[in-house]
Amino acid sequence: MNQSSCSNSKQSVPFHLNRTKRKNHFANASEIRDVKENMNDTTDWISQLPEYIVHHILSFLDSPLDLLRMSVLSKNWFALTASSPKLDFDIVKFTKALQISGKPVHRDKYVSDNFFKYVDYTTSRFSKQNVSVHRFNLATILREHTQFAIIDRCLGVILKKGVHEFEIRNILSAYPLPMYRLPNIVLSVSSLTSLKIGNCELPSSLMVDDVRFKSLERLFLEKVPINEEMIKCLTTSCPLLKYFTVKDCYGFKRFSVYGHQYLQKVWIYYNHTVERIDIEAPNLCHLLLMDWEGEGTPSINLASCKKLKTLSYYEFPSPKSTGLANFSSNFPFIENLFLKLPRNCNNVKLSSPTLRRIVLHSQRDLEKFDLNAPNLHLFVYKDHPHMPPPLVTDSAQSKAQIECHITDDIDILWFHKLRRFLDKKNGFQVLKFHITANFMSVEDLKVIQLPAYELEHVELEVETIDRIPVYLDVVDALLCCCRPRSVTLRSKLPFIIFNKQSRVVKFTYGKLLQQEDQGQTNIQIVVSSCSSKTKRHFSNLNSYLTALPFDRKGQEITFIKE
Amino acid sequence: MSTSSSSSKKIVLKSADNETFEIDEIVALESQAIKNMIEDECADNVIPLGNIDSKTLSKIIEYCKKHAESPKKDDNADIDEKAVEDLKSFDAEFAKVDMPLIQDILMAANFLNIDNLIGLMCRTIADRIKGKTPEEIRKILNINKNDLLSPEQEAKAREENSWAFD
Repeated sequence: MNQSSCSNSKQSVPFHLNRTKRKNHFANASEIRDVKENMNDTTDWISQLPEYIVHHILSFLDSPLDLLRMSVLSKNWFALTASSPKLDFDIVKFTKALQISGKPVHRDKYVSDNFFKYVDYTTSRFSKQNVSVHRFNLATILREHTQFAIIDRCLGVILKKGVHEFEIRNILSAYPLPMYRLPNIVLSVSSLTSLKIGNCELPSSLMVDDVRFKSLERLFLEKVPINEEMIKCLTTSCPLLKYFTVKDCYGFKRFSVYGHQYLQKVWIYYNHTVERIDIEAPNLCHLLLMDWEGEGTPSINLASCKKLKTLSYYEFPSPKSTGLANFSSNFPFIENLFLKLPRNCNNVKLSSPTLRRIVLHSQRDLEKFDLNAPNLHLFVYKDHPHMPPPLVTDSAQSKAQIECHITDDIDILWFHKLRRFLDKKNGFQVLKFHITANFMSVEDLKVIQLPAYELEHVELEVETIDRIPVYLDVVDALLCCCRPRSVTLRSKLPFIIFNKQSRVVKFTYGKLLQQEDQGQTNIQIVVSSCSSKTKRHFSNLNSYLTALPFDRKGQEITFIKE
Repeated sequence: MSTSSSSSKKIVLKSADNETFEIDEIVALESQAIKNMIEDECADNVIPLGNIDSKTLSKIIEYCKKHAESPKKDDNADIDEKAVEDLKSFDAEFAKVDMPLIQDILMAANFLNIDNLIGLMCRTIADRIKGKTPEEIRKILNINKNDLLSPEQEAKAREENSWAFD
């Protein structure tokens, strides 16, 4: 078993052993009972437990206040707290601990002085232990030159002992102090598996010294000055690197990674012009690009990344860029696309034979989006700019589906645009419509002149509309826009479906019937309760109406044309 | 002790006070130690647990049963939120026991190598210590007077970070 992963797990010693020893583990059980029987009730039994369990307990105490108080309990605890392999120096947590003890946290100098005293004290106690650090975190504001020396001293001790996860992400220098520069010793820590650096400069000997990140799997750089050579140097020095994030770093125009076997995810956030992105990594599966300032499209070369199936592109395409014209040549294997359009973007044209799923965030109208993706399975449109959930990957669903999640108020014109979008030959069969906004009724304005679009199924979920007439207007607009074989209505507001249920049902039933000219169509009604998963079937409207009222909450109603 | 009519494979555990517990293999597999034994085919029909009494063992089986029947977190993107909540509240209820029983469960969980249960017990202990003064924690943890730091050592340790102690 790999030594480094082993220290991470909470496995106790016996289980790494071979068969015979494992069996003995059980045979020797009585010894352990003896140990326990030897302890009388007044024994501090916890400190007698294996050290890794005690450290596990301490790892749940993340306030310096609790940790310091634990350290004075007894001789045992003094030693146990000193050797805890998780060192977390976070000025926010520290300030909170001071606040809890009623200390003057508004005095920056008081907080800062005590924080660095704590860092120094804890580090010097740790330095006498013969253990390596599992996880190290430092987040602080530097206010004085002497504090740079304390951090240097602390890092010197910690890094010499070996660290697995090292994070020094939020380290801000108060004006006019310079940015903190990491000591050169960082580069020689071969035990590192995760390295997160933010707001500091990389070691000065990076380009000269041997970098020994032979176990590093995660590298995260934020607001770090870095040039193209440094990117190259870092990636070639980390042969096992899987996840590489470069966030708001500056000093490079090209991002190049060549011949990397393990790299799986590359996330690049930039707020300056990036001219070129070249990645050659056969196992790359997710690329994220965030163009904060809308600086335009870099020239992209990823053609050798045959496993690159997921792309997240934020604030793209900017008006300055050439749009998505080269999408399928730049990203020839993409199946899942998350796209957040910038506010001021032009019409977007996207064509790709490989795309299966798209999540589009945009406050622009749907009809500005021209899509040609013959293999598309799922199209999700969201009008709010919040960070998205991960791409939905529901492989079981067999029919091409479009989902609209609406949080801004809409009116009949919106449905008109939806109708035009449906016409763009993407073969959608199912429409799911989720609305957490209001609907602005416009009287007598029949703007949808196109015939209703034929669909297999439509689902309507409304969270915010509480007036029945408005609700009915939404149903009306939706059914002007499309002609489904079946419809499901769902609402988080129980009374819409509940007290006034029959009115909604009659209205919807009537609209659906109107859509079928022959009048031969029968419409079945199925009422299901979300909680109990029971279903009640009605062969037509009358049998439904005579069965009223039901008193079940969280109902949904499905209409099926036959 | 208890017998079940279902046809799934059974494992019998025997406690220190010679009580036997027949449980589904899937429940027993929550214990990494038992899992290893079964995989190595060195588990006999009855697994004796000479260091775990029946009270502790039945508590542990209760935990393993619940966790074995809950959907596992890994790999499954569409994890049932309700099941997660349910398991959380089960854990919270489960942990409402006195310190001696926490001790027994933690030691047994360590012996049987049940990772989640070790974590739950460690967190429970930490939660009972959080925000307490050293004097209060000493009472909770039964710290013997003979084990204390020397007065000079303790005074020095407190002085270094005096804000945490006054």
